[in-house]
Parts: sequence; structure tokens; C-alpha cells
Amino acid sequence: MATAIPSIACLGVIGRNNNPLHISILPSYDPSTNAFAPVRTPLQFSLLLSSTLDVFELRARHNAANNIGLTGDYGLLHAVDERLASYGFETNTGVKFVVIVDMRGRRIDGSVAAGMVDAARRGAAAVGLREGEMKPVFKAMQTAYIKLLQNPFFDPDEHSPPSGTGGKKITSKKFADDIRRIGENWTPGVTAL
Amino acid sequence: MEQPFSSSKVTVEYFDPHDVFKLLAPGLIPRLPLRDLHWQSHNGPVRSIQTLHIELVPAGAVNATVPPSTSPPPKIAISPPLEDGFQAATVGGRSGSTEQAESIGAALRAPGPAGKERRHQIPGLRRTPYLKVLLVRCDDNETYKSTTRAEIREWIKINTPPAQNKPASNAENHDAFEWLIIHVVIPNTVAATQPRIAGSKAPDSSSDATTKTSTSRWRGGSSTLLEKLRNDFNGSSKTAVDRVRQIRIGINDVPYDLLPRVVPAVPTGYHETEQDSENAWADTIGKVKELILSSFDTRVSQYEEDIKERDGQRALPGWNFCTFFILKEGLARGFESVGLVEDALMGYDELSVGLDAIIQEQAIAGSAEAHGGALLAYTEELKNLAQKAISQINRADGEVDEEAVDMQPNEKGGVADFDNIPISPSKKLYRELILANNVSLFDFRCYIFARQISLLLRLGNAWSTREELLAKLKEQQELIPRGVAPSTPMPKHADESENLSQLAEICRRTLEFVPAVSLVARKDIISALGSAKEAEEISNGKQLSLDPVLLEVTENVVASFAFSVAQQILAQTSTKALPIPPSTLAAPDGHEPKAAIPEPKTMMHPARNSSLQSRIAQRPPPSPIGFFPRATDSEMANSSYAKAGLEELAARRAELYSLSRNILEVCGKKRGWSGGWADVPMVGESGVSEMEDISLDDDDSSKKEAPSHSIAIQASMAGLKNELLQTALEKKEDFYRLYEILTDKALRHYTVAEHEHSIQANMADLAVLKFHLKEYSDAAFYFYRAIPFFGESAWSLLELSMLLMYAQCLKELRQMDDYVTKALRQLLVKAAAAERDRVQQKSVFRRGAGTKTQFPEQSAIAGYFTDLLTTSSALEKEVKIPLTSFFCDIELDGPPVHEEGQDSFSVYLKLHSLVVDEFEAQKLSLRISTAPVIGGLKEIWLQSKGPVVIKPGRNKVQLQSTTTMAGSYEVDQIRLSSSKVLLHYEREVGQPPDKAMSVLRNPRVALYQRASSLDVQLLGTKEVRLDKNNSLDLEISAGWNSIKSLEIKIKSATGGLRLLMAETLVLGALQPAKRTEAGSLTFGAIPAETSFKIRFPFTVEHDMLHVAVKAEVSYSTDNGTFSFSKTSSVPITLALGVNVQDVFKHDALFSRFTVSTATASPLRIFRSELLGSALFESHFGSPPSHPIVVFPKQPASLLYKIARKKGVRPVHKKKQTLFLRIYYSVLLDEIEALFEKLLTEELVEAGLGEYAKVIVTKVLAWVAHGGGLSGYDLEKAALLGELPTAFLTDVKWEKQFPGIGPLTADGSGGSAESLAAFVRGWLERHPKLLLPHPDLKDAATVQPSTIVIPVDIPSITIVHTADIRLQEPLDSVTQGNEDDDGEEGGGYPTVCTNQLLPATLHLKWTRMWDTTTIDPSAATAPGGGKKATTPAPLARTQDLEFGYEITAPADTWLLGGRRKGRFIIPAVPDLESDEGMASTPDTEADISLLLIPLREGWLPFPNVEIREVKSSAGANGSGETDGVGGFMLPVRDMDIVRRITRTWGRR
Repeated sequence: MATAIPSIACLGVIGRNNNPLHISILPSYDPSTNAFAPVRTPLQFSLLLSSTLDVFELRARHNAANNIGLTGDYGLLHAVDERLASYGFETNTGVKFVVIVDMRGRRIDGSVAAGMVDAARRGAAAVGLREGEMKPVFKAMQTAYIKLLQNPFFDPDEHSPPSGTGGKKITSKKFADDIRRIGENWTPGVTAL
Repeated sequence: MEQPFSSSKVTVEYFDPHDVFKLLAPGLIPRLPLRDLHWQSHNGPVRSIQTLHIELVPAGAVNATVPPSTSPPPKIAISPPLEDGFQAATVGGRSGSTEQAESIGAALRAPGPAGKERRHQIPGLRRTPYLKVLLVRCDDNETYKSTTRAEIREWIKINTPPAQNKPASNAENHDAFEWLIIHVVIPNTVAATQPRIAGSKAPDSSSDATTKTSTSRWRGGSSTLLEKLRNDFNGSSKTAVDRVRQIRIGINDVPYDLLPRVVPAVPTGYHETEQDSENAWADTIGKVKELILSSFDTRVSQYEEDIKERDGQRALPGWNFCTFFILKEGLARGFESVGLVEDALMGYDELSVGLDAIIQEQAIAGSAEAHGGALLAYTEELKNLAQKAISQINRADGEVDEEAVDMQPNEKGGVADFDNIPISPSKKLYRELILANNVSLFDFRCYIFARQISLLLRLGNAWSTREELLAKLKEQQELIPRGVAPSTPMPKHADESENLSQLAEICRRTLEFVPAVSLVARKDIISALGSAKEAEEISNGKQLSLDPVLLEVTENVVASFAFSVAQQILAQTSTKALPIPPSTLAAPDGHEPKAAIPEPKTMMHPARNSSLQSRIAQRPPPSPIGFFPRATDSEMANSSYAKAGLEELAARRAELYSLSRNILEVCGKKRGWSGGWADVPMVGESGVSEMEDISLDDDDSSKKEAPSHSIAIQASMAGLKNELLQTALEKKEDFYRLYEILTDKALRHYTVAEHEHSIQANMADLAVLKFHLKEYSDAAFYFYRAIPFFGESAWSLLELSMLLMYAQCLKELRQMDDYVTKALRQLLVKAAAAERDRVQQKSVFRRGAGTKTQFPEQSAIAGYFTDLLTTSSALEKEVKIPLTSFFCDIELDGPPVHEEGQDSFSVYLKLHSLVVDEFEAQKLSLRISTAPVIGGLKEIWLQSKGPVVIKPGRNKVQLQSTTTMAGSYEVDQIRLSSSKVLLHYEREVGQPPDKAMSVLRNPRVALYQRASSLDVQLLGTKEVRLDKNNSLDLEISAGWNSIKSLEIKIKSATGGLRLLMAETLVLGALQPAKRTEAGSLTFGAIPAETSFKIRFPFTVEHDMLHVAVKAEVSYSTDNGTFSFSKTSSVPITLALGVNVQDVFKHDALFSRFTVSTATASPLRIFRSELLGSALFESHFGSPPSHPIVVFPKQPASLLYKIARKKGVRPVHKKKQTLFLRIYYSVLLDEIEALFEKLLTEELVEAGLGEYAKVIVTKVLAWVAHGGGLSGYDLEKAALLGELPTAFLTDVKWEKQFPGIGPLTADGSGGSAESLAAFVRGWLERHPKLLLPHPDLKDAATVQPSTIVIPVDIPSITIVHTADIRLQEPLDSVTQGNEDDDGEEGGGYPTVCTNQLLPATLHLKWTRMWDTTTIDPSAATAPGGGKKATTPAPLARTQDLEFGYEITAPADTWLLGGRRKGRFIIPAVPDLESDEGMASTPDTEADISLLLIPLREGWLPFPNVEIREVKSSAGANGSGETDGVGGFMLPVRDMDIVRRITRTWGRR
């Protein structure tokens, strides 16, 4: 029985000014063609990411009202359709990480590494994704972002100007590679990326 | 058969053998539901139950006559004996068809009244009354005794638990109930006349408690019926519960036919008051509440105990989750039934989590049976559905008709499960299935979810739930017999507002449920249909793909299911409290497509007509453009804040709509109908080019695995059971229609929720859809709104592609203006910006090749710029766009380049074009200008030669100017024009270059003059005449230009300077061809290497140090027309200052001229001359042999003796003026000249002759002004005759020559460095400069400057000379002995104190210095500053009377003789002759004096004061004498003091 397991379809880093800093789109398995292809166009992913900002705002407001810490895993933001869902995380500097998960973006077959099978089976069995499943992803993304920030040539103000509008995208290749790696390596049940 | 009403009901069974319920009902029903119950749970706080609905079920109503011995009492049809004690809610499922279908289905499956046998097996399945009520009619004591008591006993025996005292078994406790006897008293009976309690006849208000005790006390006595009842049935123990109540029916409430005609007993006088009956009712109701709670409490305790026990057994083998579930659910249902919905919900939530945990555990363990019991691998319905669908697909494609026929019954039949109400707890006999361990995960989840939703709906007070309850209530109330007026008014059911946050919670759960359950459903189907063999293969990695048909069907079924769920929840959560702005979809002509597809809501949920549908129907007519109700939004938002959770609900609903939309989209995608995004034109990602598989139309290539099936599959509707989805997917138009509706609904909900980003995202969706559908005006509108939003927060990818579409829209709409100005412009600007990012990124990552850049492909925007240019040419107005939008890295390339042989220069401008297209710029121009300082703003425009082709990427454009103005400039404007598009760049001069900008990091341009170019030099003339307007010389040298014609305009560049151009003098052979007043001169041909001077006088309004003159020359040569402009300034201050001191004598005037320097620089005076005038002649002593050097603190004196020429009359004032001419040179000038000479010579030698002007100017600037030479240095230089050049070595020469580059493009010539090197070398070679030592003879060669100073001889009317002479020659007594000073006193006359000294005062006068003329204009002597106060003719033709007075200090001299006196000077008889001009011995006076010195020492002679005596009009005597006496006195005093013994005081 071919089991499709969730995979990450898109990883987005959104800056403090609600500007996109980085978007990585990962292909999902398409059973009809037996090939990997992104499930949406980049523009649609952009729109999806953009739409999550409202939820971020709402949760942030809610958190502030309830005096919960600034950094937060916001859990499920949107269920896009029966296949895609977006999860969010906001750092205390207002940088947001969004993960759009494709519930059946990958399938278990021989190519999957043996170590992953167990995790994958568990993931497949799990009914839907738990909120906690995304934690390692966010953790890894944050680590990648912190690494980026530690680069002395990276000017955060350039990417999220204090003026409050706009900002440039992250152009660090290393960061992009990191994010991509995170997206590719994640499967449900993975605890560290 | 299940009834779709709310589960929040408690069953109360009543047994009504006497048929009195109908009498009781009018009083009872209005008092229902029960309100404000308070239940103290074992482990929690007191729960309040607001309202508790009661379902009154008659026990054995059908066979009322059957003696109550029948056991158990059969239940009537209304309350079917299902195993379910609590009637589950089927919310929203009231559509006729569904009900019907379900009733059929339910009827088929209904297991019949077989609840009994399961009783012990499965606790919690019982639907049993909480309370059993026996309604007793007993009219008098006799009846009671004879029959009623027995009846009651019988009933109690049957119905009550065997013994109240004995602990009940578990199973019984699950059904624990209480019982109550209500004695219904009919009016006109004996019972009615009895008081309630014997002995207390008065209408008492005694509480139940006292009644109870009193009852027992009065036991056995003559008691009322009530007391009897209580005695008999309340039990004897103290703890026994009072179970008897009496209700008296008012006489009016009893139908006439039921009323006993005869009053059988004697009236006791007891009369039941209104108050009493009210109390009785309250008491009864209270009792009911109490008993219900009591039985509820018993049940809950039992359930909790059971659950605990089962939970503890979890680890044991054989533990079954299903059983546990049912048990726990029982509790939850119990809670629900009494209205504790939250508790119930919590129970279900726990169960849901538990289910997940079980499944997870099973997955890990690997075996389903291992733990908690296995669930079914698949769901039968899903399997059927999928199989049907597959077979449908597999049937021949041509048999469309058959297919259609087949589908109809399917839908009507049992497969309709997933049709419209997919989530309902009553859809299947879930509980039974669960109990039988015969449930699939899918069903299990659905059931839990359905239960959760229904509970939440109750919590949310959704209209659907509420209305069902109300309907039920009404139904009860309608049972009241007609004709009987209700005793109490119907309670008002306030329209309690819905709890919106609970509704939002429903939506939220749905949003989580749908993806999860979809997953389950997929697995379900696949496991149902996927053959084992296949699975094996797949697991071995051999076959990587499932059967595409199966896949397709699965997709369809799941999508359909998910869609249905979303739609159902949307319908259930719709509320009137949620104001949704009217649709924006109403395009002006958008009616016709609406007819094609019915409004989805209408189709699905007719019940919703009330809320949303009506709104849509009454949609106001669409207003024109700009109709989006922004204002209404805000209004609504304001008003809606009152509602808590409104925003959240709106947001959630919007998300649900989005979800549905997305599902639809995915389905549509398979059919090649996209929402537009998939084929957004021209924008793709550079890295992800394999996007073509989105459109499955050409799937022959993509579906390699199953080519045979592909066509059938993609059109397949099989498995799509949702009508709406089906309809939408049948036709493309319908698909888009639904897509649009859903998007629009989401948009409007988001608008209410104020989710700005989502609004915009939906807006974008709509825009793209409209664009896709070629509804351009709508699309343009949405684009117009959405684009700026994304642009602002830098979603450039989105913005760009949307702009692209926007541009196309506008183009299609022929809104050319907007097309150009709004869309194209922005598009290109953004594209260019993205391109810039790319360029910058490229520069950052030089090494990392092949990064996945997310930038729009260049080809996407290709052609648009050209389009912009061509379209703009049709526009009226010029389109101005900042240059930086399309270009980056704008830089000047190197210093300006001068061209050989002509006076022009050019600058190379580097531009990095971000435009994809190559285009031709008609003109590229650049302006450089100076900072606005003295001399006004100087600007030079440089232009490209003809059109320039701008290629994408780097460009280098030569910009040329024929204007030469030396100076330092900054670029402040760049303009690039191409047809009607003007790209411009402006900056402020002096504005610091922005580091972030990649534009003109170094905007400075320095222009200099080449030595061989045309030049204009302003010189101050070397001859200065103070009496005339000075003039300036302008020397024009043609340089290498053979000028054909030249026009020069000379303008003053200093305020207050007036150039007298009318008096211009051109020195040299060349004369102007034309001259105008305004100071412009035109010349003809001028050969190369010639020069001429223009001299023009000027005046200044006030003293100033420098004057500046601007010369603008435009000239033409064979190479074209050039212009030259130069503002140069020269000092006009005099280099020297001259003071004159006049000493008048009787026949001569001595003038001493003091020549001092005006600057710090020493002067060299070669010679001087005082030119005589007609009246005077001057004499000078022997001139010095060498030039005199005048230092600033060491002025030179020149003494001239001036005598009046004999026989010359003063005729004209002018003629009298003498002129002092001084030949001098300023040392600094000499030094500068020396520098220039030496530098130029060596520069020419070094081949840098062209730079001579620059270098000399710079060096001299340092010499003269740069603080290089101080006054001290100059003084030293003047004294030593040499000047060290060390002070110049510290200057950073490299920085002095900015903007100097090669002379020609080929790089010959020098740069700033080479020039600096030269200067340094020169300074090394010349550590000291020898100043020339001009001799007097060199005066001609040196060409000293001259200054001519007019010297006026002041006119003095009369000069008196007073002379005191001692008569006798004095002996010199100081023969060395008495001379204190040690001076050689020999020969000095010495007198003794108190010695009498006879003396004579001799007074002479002369009119010779009266040079006033008749000419009244000459009354004021310009030079001397003395005023001839008396008009000359008057003074000369009148006798003047003077008085003298001799005064001396009293302690110095003792004076004797005539100390005062008067004398008259006669008038000049003849003005023409010399007669009377001077005193003759006749007119001179000798006055004898006797002087006695009173003390020792050098004594000045006494003062002689001569004053004019005004004889005629003597009023103001003192003023008149000033002229004469005032002048002489100070001189005399001084002289006397000094020369007391050397010269005699004269005068």
C-alpha cells in the first residue's frame, strides 16, 4: 500500500515588516505522474504565505493580551485545503517562519532511507499532524536564521528597515540551502533537523 | 426512528391512568423548560443549568386503560424504544429529502425494541426516564381508600427500584430514576374542597418541609387526601423523600364536559387562591428538579466509577477501546442531556484524543489487534462509492446516457451518505457499529466530530439548534387542549444571541478536521480497493504508482467529502449576527452567468433562505467603478465590535470558504481549469521550469504510467458526490462561477474579520480569475486595489506578475493613459527594481553560480518598454519617470575630456540599464552646476550627440558640451528622453551622495581651461587715476581658435558695480563690428593666437575690495559654435595710501605726502612727481637713487614745496589741481609674476603647457590667499631679496587638481598626479626665488603701476603771519656753565627771569592763497577739506576786520603793551591785479610788547590769536573766524614750542 506521508511544500521566512525574506518551494510527489512537482505556483505560495500574516497578527495580539512570551509557536494557521496546511512561528523580533505542509507530499518507497521508515509509518498512521510535529522545523529554521544574523555582513535593517515598510529578500545562499535542506529532510516524527 | 431534535432533553415519563394530563398540561407546559438548576458534582464546582428541557412521555398512553401491571410500560411511537436514552441532534438536517432518506434507511436498520437484553452488557445505552410521574385523580377519600391507594401501590411496586434502601446494582444505577406522585385535584370534587393540610385551613404559605413533618404528626387523624397520600407513600424513615404533590386545577381550566356536575361533598369553605396554586406549582416544579438532579447524580456517579474501572484495565489484553468509548460517551451524553454541554464536549474531546493515541499505539506496535481492538480497515460506504465510481469510469466513455441514469438512483439510494450532510451523528448507527466493533476509523472520526459539532452548536446557540428546541417546545404547547385558555401566559423566548466565538470554534475544529479526515478517507478507500498484490509490489518498490483510476476516484471522493463538510459547517454556522458586506461580484452585466448555476446555498440548504440567501437576493444594484464598499466596511466594523467573536467567526468562515475554494480549484486543475494562477502569463521562476505539468490537457507526456486511462480519468466525475461540486465541475463556466462565488464569500468574510492580508490575497485571486476569464474591467479593478498592497510590503514577485496582468487589462480596455502611467510604468519600474536586486545579488555572489533566484524572467517583461515608448508617443503629456527606476550604477566615467583643437569637452556617463529591451533615447543630457555661491549659479548642459541606443546592461554614453566655464561642478540633473517618456534624475548640489543609492557616487566634475583655448582675462589697469572712473581691461585671447565671429557680453557680477559700457574702448587693431548698449560686442573674424583688450570704465556704489565681471563669449569656428563664460574678479583697492599735510607760509606752501601701504605687502616706490597746475608750481628735492621700499609700518614721506605762479589768476578750479603721480610696484605682484613666469616656462618645457593656467592659478592661490605668505614673509622677502618656496611644499598638490584628466581621449597628457609631481619637482628645483632688484633705470622695463592722485590746494582767504621779535639782541649767557641739559647752548639767546624783554609783534597778511574763483561750483575745495566760509567774491571785495589778542599763561609770562587790538585788511580793489593781495609795509602792523618771563626753562612765546571781527552782523563771530584762526593756531603752537630758540615763531 503506497502510503503518502506529509512533507513540506513551502518554507517561508517573513520579515518584521511583513515582507517576504525568503521563500523555498519544495516539490511534492504527484502520484498521477509519479514525479515531484510543486503543488502550487510560486505566486500562489506567496499568496498563502501572505494570508497567514493575519493569523500571526491575531495570535500576537492575543498573546500580548494574555502576557504570553513574544516568541511563539502559533501552530496551525490555516488549513488551505484538504492537503495543504500552514503552520507558523514568530520570533521575538517579529520574524515569522511559515511552513506549508503537504499532507501527502511524499510517499514511502524504496528510496526512503531505512531509518525514516519507522518515523514515516508513524507519521502515516497519525491522524493529521500534531502541532508538536512542526517544532523541529521551526527550531531548525530559527537556527539557520540566527546563523544568518551572525554573519557580520548581513544587515538586518536592510531586510526589515525600521521605517516599517518593505525590505529586501535574503540573498544568502547558505541560508537558502539551509532552509531547503530543512524542507527536504523533514518527515513527521523527526525530532532534530 | 430518530428525531432530529436537540439532545438537551430529559425524559420524564408520566403514567396517567385517569387521563388528567390534559388538565394538568395547561399549567405545566408553560412552566417548562425547567430553569436554573444547580448541580453539585463530585469533583467540580456547582454547575448551573440554565434551562432544562423536559420531554414528557406518557407511559402506556396508548393503552391507558391497561392496568399498570404491564411491565415494563411500553413506549409509544413518539418515543421510539431506541437504545438511546438521549435523542441525538441532527442539526441542520431538516431538509425534506434527507429526512426522508434517512427515515427509510433508519427504518431498515432499526433493530427494534431490543434494548433490554443489552442492558447489562453495555451500560450507558439506556434511554430511560429520569423521573417517573404518576398522575392520580382521586376525588374523595372513599375512592382513595377503595381503589386509588391500591392502584398507586401497584404502580410503585412495578416502577420503583425494588428497594430504596438496598444499594442498587451498577446497571440499575445507570438507569437510576426517581418517582413522583402528583395528585391532580379536579374542581367540584371533595378533594377540591379539602384544604391541603388538615388543621390549617387558612391558605398557608408553609414550606414543604413543615408540611412534611406535620403530615407525619397528623398521621391517622382525619386527614386530607394529600396527607393520606403522603402517609401512605412517602415511606416511614426520616430520610425518606417526599414524593407527593398536589395540583389543583382551576375551575376555568377544566373543560366543561370533564367537570363533575355535582359537588359531592359539603363545602368546607376552603378556597384555593391564586397564590396557593402558584405556590403549589412552584413547589411541584421544584420537586421535579430536585428529583431529576438526584437521579442524574446517581447516574453520573455510576458512570464515572465504571469509566475509572475500565480505564484502569487499559493495559490488560483484550481491552477494547470501543467499549470504553461507549461507556465514556454515556457519561458525556448524560451531561448533555441535562444541559451541561461543556462537560459533554470535554468528554468527547478526551475521547478524540484517546482515539488518536490508540491509533498511534497500534501503528507503532504494528498490529491492529494488539491493542485496544481493531478498527475496520475501510468503510463500506466509501468502498461502495469508490467502486461505483471506478466501474463508472471503466465503462465505455460513450455511454453517457447510461451513466447518467445510473447515477441518479445511486444518489437517492444508500450512497447518498456523503452527499450533503456528511457530518451527522445520526447518519449511521454509529453507536451500534462502535459497540459491535464494526466501525472504521473514518466513521469513528466522523462520529466524534459530529458529536463535537453538535455540542458546540448548542453552546453557540446556533439558530438551527435553538429553533429545533423552540419547535419542540411549541409542539408541546400545542398539545394543550384547544378551547382552554392557558392559565399562564406563554413564556417569552427571548431571542438569545448566538455565541459567535463558539461558532468560530466549530469552524476552527472543522478546519483541523477536514485535512485529517481526508487523509483517513484516502487511506480508507485505498485500503479497501487496493489489491493486496499491488500493495505488495509497491512495498517492494517495484510499482511506484497506484492504479490511476483508483487514484482519481479516491481524489474525487475525498475532495467531495471535504467540500461537503466545509459547506455543511458553513451552513450551520451562518448567523444573522454576522454582517457580511454585499457581494462585489455584481459586475454591471453579470446577470446571465448566474442563471447558469444556481446559488450554491439554495441548492444545498434550503433552510438558509432566511439568512444569507435573502441578502444575496436583495443585493443592491451594483454601482459603478469604485463600488467596493470601503465606507460600509468601516461602519460595519464599528458596529460589529460589540459582538464578541464576530471577527473570529468571520475569519474562520472565510477560511472555510477558502478551503472549499481550494478544493474546488484542485479539482478544476485536473480538468485544466485553473483559477488563473497556474497560467499567469509570463511570470515563472527561473529555477522551477518544470511547471508545465499543471495543465493536464497534454497529459500524454506526463502520464506515462497509464496512458490508456488518462483521458477517461481527467474528465471523470466519478466519486464526486457533492452536488454543488458536481455541478461546478460539469461545465467550465460553472466552475469559474463557483470559484468566484467562494472566493468572493471568503473575501467578504475576511473583510468583516479585518484580515487585511487575506483580503488582499483573495482580491488577488479574484483579479487573476477575472483576468483569466478575460473580464478585464473587473480584473483591472481588483488589480488596482491589490497591487499596491503587495508592493508596499515588498512581495515583489506577486506585485510584478500582477502588474503585468494589470497592464494587459488596461491595454485591452484601451485606457491608454492608465496603461502607460499606472500599469506599464509601475510594471517596468518594479521589473527594473527586481532586476537591480538581481544585479546586486550577482555582485554579492560572484562565486556561487546557479543559485535559485526568484526573479521574474526577463522574457516576461520583454517588449513592454518599447510598448511604453510607442504608446506614450500618442499621449498628450510627457510621462516623467525617475531615471533611477530603470537605471542603476549611474556614474561618471573619469574626468572630463577636452578635445584637441577646439574648446569643447565631454564626459562619459556610465549607465546600467535595467530595462530588458534595447531602446533608443532621442536625447540624453546632463547638467552640471556649481553650488550657488558668488557669481550666481553656473550651469552647463552636456548632451549626447544625437540619439543613443541604450542596451540592457551597461552603457557608456559620451556627453559633450561646447561651453567652457572653469570651475568645480556637480552633476545635478540627468535627463533621458525617448518619445514622450522622460526619464529624469535630479539631485541637489552639495547634497552628500547617498551611499545606499547606486547613483552618482561621485557627482563632481571639475572643469579647467586649457592654455591654448580661448580665454578672457580681466585685469585691473595699471594706471589708476583717482579723479576719474577707473577702468578694467578684459583681454581676450583667441587661443587656437580661428574665430569666424565672436560675440562677447560683459556683465557686472558684483552688486554695486556698474560698468560704463558706453565708454568701452577696444585696444588694438581689431574693432568691434557692432556694439550694443547692453555691453555686448560683436567682432568679426579673429585669427588664432591673437589677443586684444577691451577697456571699460566702471563705477562702484560703495567701497569694495574686488569687483567681478562676467564675460560670456560665444564664438564660432569651423568646428562649430562654442561658448565660453568666465567670471573673474580683480582687486580694485589701492595698493597704497597717501596722506598730505599742508603748511602754508606767506609765500610758499609745503606739502608733505605720506605714502603708506594699504596691504600687508611692501611697496616699492620708484619715483614720484607732483605735476604743477596752471596756478601752482611744485618743487622737489633731489630724488633718491634707489626705489624706496615702503613697509606697512614704515611709510615714506614726500615733501613738496608749492609756490604760486606769478601773475596767474585763479580762473578755474580744475586748473589749480596738482597731480601727484607715484610709480610703484607691489611686492606680492612681483612675486606672483615671478611664479607665473617661472612655472609657465618650465611647464612648457615639461610638455604640460596646456595645464599652465590651472597650475599657475592654483599655485598663486596658495601664494596669495592660501595663507602661504604672511606680512612678515613679504617683509623679509623685500629685505632679503629672495623668497623661500618651502611654504608650498606642504600643500597636498594631488588634491588641488580634481577632474584633471588626459587632454585627449587617447590618454596623452597628465593626470592630477603628474601635475602634482611636476609642482613638487619645481619646488625642489627652486627652493628660493630671487626677487628682481629693479633699479630706477629699470622702471621702464618693470612697468610699474602708477597712481595719479589729484592734489587740491585749499583756498584760504587770508593768511596772517604774526611774528614776535625781541628788540634787543640777547646775550648768550649760557657759556656752558648754566646749561643744564648739557647741550651746546652757545648762541642761544638766554634771558633771565623777570628780565624785561621789549619786543615787537609784527603782523603780516596775504591773500595769495585765496584761490577761490568766481565759479560758485568750485566753492568746495575737494582736496584740502578746508572750507572757505566766506564766499570768495565777498571776502575779496570787502574790508575785513580782525582782532588780535596776545595771551600767555599767567605763571610764565608777564605781558606788557597792547595785548589786544583790531586791524582792518582792506578789500582788493582790483581783482585782476596783484595789488592788495598781500600786505605791504603800510598795511603791516608793529606792536610793541614787553615780555617778562616769570620762570625758568624753555618758554614758549605767548600765543597770538587773530580773529575776524564781524562788524556788520556780529551775531556769530566765532563761527566766522574758524577759517582763518582755527587753521593757524595749532600749527603755531607746535612750532613755537619746538623752536623757541632756533627759529622765531613765524606766521
